[in-house]
Amino acid sequence: MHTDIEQRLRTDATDIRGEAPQRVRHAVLDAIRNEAPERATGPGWRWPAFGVAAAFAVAVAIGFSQQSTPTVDATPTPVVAAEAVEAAPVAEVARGSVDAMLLAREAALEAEMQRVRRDLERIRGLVENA
Amino acid sequence: MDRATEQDLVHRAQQGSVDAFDRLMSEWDDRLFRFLRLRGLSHADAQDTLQETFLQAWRRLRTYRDTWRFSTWLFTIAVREAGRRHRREAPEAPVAVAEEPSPLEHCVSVETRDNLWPLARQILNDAQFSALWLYYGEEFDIAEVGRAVGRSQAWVKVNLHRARRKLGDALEARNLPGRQISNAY
Repeated sequence: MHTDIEQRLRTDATDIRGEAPQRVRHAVLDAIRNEAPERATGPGWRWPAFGVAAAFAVAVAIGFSQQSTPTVDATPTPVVAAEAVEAAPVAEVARGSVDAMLLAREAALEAEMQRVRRDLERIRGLVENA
Repeated sequence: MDRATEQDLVHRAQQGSVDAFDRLMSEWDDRLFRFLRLRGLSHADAQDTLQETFLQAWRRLRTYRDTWRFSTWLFTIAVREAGRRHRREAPEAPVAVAEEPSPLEHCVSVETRDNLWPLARQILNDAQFSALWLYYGEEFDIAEVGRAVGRSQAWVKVNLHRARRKLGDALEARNLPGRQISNAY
């Protein structure tokens, strides 16, 4: 009597038992949750992506605030600085944290305050010389 | 679990849902564990390898594409991890002569000791055995088996045939039923 090997392989496979211990899953879940905090809410690629995006956004903001141009006022307007920030990989910044955006906007505001101070000094000089 | 549900869970896990990933693990942990034990890993090694498989899956989840079933992807990782562990811990280990029950024999009930799978484990190499199990035990298709074991579809077809022939020869030598070999895939 010959039995088809394929048939036996299929039917015999159903007799193979083996249950994974629950602690394996629990250990994996613990490991996932105990890795970097953002790992608990998503795969760990976001942190480096955020780091790069944040550094880029800050660098862009600082770069614009320090860039000198042959105009009377060397400081870019807040609008320009803000546009530079918007031009940064906003989606990645937003995904990572609002901190980078706040930092960039803070830099833009600081640039605006410096420009206003210089304008006031110029006006004061004009008034005194008048 | 149907494919749509599975893909939904995968998508949610890719978005960062640990609960969705847990559901995927609970769906596949028994089958992966059984496969790792069948490959010859001890209970402890199979647990460690299963844990590493799931951790690798979580870390690489963004690289998963639904071209393949999620199970195929998981088994691909499991095969790689099992091979790595086997190479690291028993590079020269010959096929065990069973003085003690093998991991596979632990999985087979007393009533079914004439089960073909222990014999298959004994006479086939790791890759052949994995391919045979994934094809008949997990009912993967040829392409999925090839993907999981990292071989071409031609390799899978040839080695399934060789595995069946080896089993047939071994059964004949033992005068057991099952000599008839099918070439069907």
